[in-house]
Amino acid sequence: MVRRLGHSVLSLLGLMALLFFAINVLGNPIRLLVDQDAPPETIAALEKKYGFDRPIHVRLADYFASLLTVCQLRCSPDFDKSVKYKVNARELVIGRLPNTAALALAAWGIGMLGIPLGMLAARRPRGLFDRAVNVLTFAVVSVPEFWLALMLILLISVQWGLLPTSGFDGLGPSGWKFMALPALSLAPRVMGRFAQITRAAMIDELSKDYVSTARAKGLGESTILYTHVLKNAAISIVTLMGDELAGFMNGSVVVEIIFAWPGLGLLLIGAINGRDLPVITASVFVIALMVMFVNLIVDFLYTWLDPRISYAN
Amino acid sequence: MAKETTEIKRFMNPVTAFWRRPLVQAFISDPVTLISGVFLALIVLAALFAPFVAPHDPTDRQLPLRHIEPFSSGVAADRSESPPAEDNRFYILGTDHLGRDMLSRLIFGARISLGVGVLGVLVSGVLGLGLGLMAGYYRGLTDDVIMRIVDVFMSVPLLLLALIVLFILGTGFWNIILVFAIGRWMLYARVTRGVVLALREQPFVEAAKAIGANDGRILLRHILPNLITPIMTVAALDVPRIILTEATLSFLGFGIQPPDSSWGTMLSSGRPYITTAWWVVVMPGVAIFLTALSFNLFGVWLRAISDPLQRWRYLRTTKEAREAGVRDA
Repeated sequence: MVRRLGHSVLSLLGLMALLFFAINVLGNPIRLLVDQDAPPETIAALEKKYGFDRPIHVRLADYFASLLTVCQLRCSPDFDKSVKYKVNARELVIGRLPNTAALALAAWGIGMLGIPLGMLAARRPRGLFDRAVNVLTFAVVSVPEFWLALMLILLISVQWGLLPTSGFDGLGPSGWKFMALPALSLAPRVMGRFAQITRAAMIDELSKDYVSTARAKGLGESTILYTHVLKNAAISIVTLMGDELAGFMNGSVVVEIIFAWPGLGLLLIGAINGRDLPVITASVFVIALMVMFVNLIVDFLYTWLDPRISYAN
Repeated sequence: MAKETTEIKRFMNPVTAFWRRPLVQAFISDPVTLISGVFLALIVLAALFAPFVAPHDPTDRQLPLRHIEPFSSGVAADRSESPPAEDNRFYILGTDHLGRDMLSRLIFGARISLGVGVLGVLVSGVLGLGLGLMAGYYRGLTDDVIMRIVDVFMSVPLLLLALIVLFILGTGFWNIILVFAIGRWMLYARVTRGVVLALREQPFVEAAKAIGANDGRILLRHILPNLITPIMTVAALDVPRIILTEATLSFLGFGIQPPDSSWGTMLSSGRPYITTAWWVVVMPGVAIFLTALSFNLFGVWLRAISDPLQRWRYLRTTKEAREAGVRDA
């Protein structure tokens, strides 16, 4: 388990090194901050002010030191404050995190409906219901989330006037109105993936010997399906859905922008447009941290569901 | 005797033989796959021959004819001549906010959207294939290092990576291809490594080694041909993903920039008019959706047909499959 944790930390550090490399070596951080035709004196002054005139290895060491020790995300000294908001980038990002997490939870909650759909489809592969589910799930996976979001606004908000087009009113009970449409735009893809993965895992399990044994000893088909097969299929479902989270964040970013939902995605795009380097670094760090944390939980679940697997050796 | 000859002739006739091949039979007997395959072929042909297929010039602005509804007509004028040359035009999918024909713009947009999809897959596929071959064949430290890098990249959301890279390098067609190369290569590296690990222990590799073939020859002539099917399957399923991501990037303003336009750019420029002219937002979205769906359905069929455990469900005629598939699935 420690080894597994070590892998995650290593991957995270690798990603942050990549980000540092991208900003400092591929691009010039000061050039990204100022206008295209800024005079060289301004650039030199800024470089000195933010410590970009020091050699690259010193900056890299400082970057990682700040990441590891106090977790105060910064690119260099005196540069941990957001350029735009004038507050600490870390606090800004952590403040936005619950909003994104809540949206993700709502979308994944609705998306869980895909599991029974996949189970029903797996009962008779290539049957009529299975074919219908197959086309339906691929259809929802092929819809761009932002387009679905626009269509929902057009239909539900503009045409019928049922829900607000965008906005945010806290995460409490009064905020559901604003949350419904973003969650509904994100949920279909999750549902489709759940159905596809459940179906594939169930079909895979159904072909195994223990199913034949169970049938031979006279167990009912639904007992086999729900107690034996589903339990074993759950392992692959959990693992594969863990991989989906990184992809889910793609959709989450753009849906947050369309509905002006104050989450990490909206913050990140604002920071990129405003060339707010500390906020960019901090949001990337937190999003990657979130994905890795969930994958770690998935691995824990994995050992719990299937005691044969352990990370001890 | 004469009957026998015609039988043989019919069998030898290349056209008949082609239609009788199990793969072709499986393709045309599955309606979903057939429709998606035909749709894909049409889209690709339309993109390739866009200047001949498009009814109007996609860049021809007719401001008086802005936001004309689908299936209506208007009189377009060419003001560069005097007196202005006028012609009565019919717009199947309407016009956008500058009075340009939506259908023609969609057809020309397909060039960019499909181009990004196909080139992105091609570049990332070659990169991943190379690294996967190295990791699987040499194992040891090379394998460890490459697979750790794969792990890092797997946990980064593609859009995040794309935004960072495009933020630093600037937008543009080739930078977007670069994004997909560095954001999707690990899919192919993983698959390739898995296959190579299994293949390198096979007798035919041993035999090649015994007759003195070097590593390059073994990899290219003996192992690579076995990788074509698994890689093709991954690639077919990744094209829609790349098309969707490109649309998202263009929608956010980080993708294809005017005057070039992809379906994502069209959506983004039409967004302000969503309440007054629904078709400028609906049509590009439908194009993206149908193309991605067709690629997905076709890709999943390709995967099933190349998997020996699943293939029988597709290769038998539907009736037989129905009878056989009831119990033993």
